[in-house]
Amino acid sequence: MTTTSPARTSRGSAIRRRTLLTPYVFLAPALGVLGFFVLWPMVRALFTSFTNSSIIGTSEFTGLANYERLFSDPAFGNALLNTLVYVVATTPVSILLALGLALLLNRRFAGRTFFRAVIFFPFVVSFGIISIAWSFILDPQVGLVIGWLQQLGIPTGNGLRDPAWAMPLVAFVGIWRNLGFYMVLFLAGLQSVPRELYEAAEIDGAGGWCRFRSITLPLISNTTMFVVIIATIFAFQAFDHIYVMTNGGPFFKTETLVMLIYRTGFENFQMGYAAAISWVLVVVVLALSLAQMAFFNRRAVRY
Amino acid sequence: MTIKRSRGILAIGSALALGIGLVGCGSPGESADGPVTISFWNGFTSSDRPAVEEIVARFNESQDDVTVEMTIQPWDVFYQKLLPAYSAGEGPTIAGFNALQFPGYASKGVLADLTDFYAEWDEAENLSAPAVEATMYDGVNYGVPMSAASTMLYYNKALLEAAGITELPTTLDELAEQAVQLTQYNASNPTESVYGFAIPDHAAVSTWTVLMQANGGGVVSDDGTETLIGSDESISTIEKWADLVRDEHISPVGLGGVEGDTLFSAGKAAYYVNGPWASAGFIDAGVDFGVIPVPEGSVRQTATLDSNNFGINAAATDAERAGAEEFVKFWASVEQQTYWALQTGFAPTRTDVETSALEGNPNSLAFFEAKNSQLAFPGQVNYAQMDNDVLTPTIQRILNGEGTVRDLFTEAAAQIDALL
Repeated sequence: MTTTSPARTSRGSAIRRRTLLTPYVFLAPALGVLGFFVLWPMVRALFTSFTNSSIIGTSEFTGLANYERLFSDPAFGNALLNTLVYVVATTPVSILLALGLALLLNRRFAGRTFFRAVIFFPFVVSFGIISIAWSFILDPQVGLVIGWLQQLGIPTGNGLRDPAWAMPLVAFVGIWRNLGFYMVLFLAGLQSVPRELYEAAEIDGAGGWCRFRSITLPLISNTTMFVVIIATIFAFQAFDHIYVMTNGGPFFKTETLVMLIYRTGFENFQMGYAAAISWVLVVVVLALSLAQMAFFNRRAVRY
Repeated sequence: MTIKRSRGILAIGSALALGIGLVGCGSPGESADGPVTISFWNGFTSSDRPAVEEIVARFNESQDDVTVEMTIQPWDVFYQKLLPAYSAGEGPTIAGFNALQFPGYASKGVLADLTDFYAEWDEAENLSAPAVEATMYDGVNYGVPMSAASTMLYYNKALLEAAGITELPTTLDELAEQAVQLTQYNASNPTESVYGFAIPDHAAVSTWTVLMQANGGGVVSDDGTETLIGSDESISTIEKWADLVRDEHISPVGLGGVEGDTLFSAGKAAYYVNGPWASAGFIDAGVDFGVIPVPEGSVRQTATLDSNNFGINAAATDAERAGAEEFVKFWASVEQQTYWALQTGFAPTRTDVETSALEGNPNSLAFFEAKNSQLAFPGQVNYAQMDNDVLTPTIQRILNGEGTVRDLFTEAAAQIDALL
């Protein structure tokens, strides 16, 4: 080992410092925005969740009282259950449909771009506005689709106002809305799979299903992981269309956690309790996302 | 431990955390000597909007000292923003909103006490008494009536004629009989049904409350101190009407206010209770309708008072406060109230408008002559919870056959007790 002169050391470390710093300078604007508009409010919300804040006036520090209240609050239990039902009903269905559509629309045929656009369309339009349209279409007294279904003798109950039908119908609209987005993600994943692998497999005599199982599925596992996590988070965050179509009703049958947070915080002005429910939602979503990442990372395949 | 908040950040933070964007707006007050600009928020987004805008424009033109800057936004957005805005010190100088919501805001100290203003205002005695009553909380006056309306019974003339009904109902029992007679329910295709009496159960001025109040029941007593929803009068009334809805199909189950309006506009509801604001839509839809007072029950004739009040920001400067007082006086003047009534079909907020002046709008005249109306939840700080968390879901459970009226109302009474 050779000795280095003091001058060289300081120059070297200055360069190193600069190279260490450069990425952070580039990241700073994004981190700043993220920190100020996402992280800081989350920390404040955590703080609020330990108080009995009601938006205005002073608030008392109440320790874990809000979190204790969760366990005995039937409204929270109901919203948690509804959220889980919604997540379980929409996530797998939308992912499987999106993957199926992506495989279909990855083939070459006339009108392919048209169909891609049609399926992606609901994701681009304002969710609030298309939800208003859906509530008219699904209205049991004046609704177009309901009228047709009933003429065909297909029972539709009392439409969106039926306690048994409300959740399936909002879940349907939720799937319809996000399907196109997941499909586009899968399409991008499919196009990143090297074509020569399929050619090699074909020469080896692999059939369609075998190629899908052994090449496509493993090689798009990163995309699949991303879609599964995003779809789960979207489902946990379900709000817009439920707010517009049922407002959580009839009698809270479609009230999800985010709907409950909204009602508690902005209608009943119990901001402390609403913040506590928000944090429970954050923890549940975080835990699930981490579990999903662990699951997919164990299955990641590279050729 | 008492925590003093940095309020602006909290408001922004909570809103972002919940995915709802809040846009702060407020106008700075100017010095006491020069002209002052005051902000005025309300939620009159529908057919009455042009009339509100016109009166504000007239006020701004009538003098040079005060300029009213108005922000009209949908009611749900209005209520999301109002309290955070007050909390951030950015609240409007004047806010015009529903009387049922007033106690909640008054109890939080954001509305100015107007006792002295009323004492010095010689025209105050000409205001409609129930409308002024609806601005009171805890014996103190916190508002000035902006619009006050009684609900009435709308009827579709063609449907009544087709059913051979010539005598309009004077009692709720007669209304019930006619509703059954008028109903043509088609179980296999409800889109082809005609309903005798459409009764919304959410997002509407509550008809269920009026039915109970007319028979001596209600959700809470008239003085707002007692729970009445568990009383025999309330239970027997709802048992009767819920049976008519479930078994005779006089109304669809789970109707919201907008859907109720749509149903009546489409000529598929014979009777329907609503306020004057609905009349413009029915006229546009080409329905041939009339309005009569809600028929009387076994104890009294009543209807819902749906009142909006002006509240003045408790944190307003003296100049802003003076400007706001000028504006509400202007609004309440005979000239503006006559214009308001003719344009919107609302009754004037004062009683000394000549009925002959209202002949241009028969609806306004009918609503002007409606009497005996009262608030559905008088004087309740927790009104929103009583309505959204208790009354609405309870009625919906009953109509969907999720329990007996007695059981569900006894449960509801305990919940209301806790919120009183």
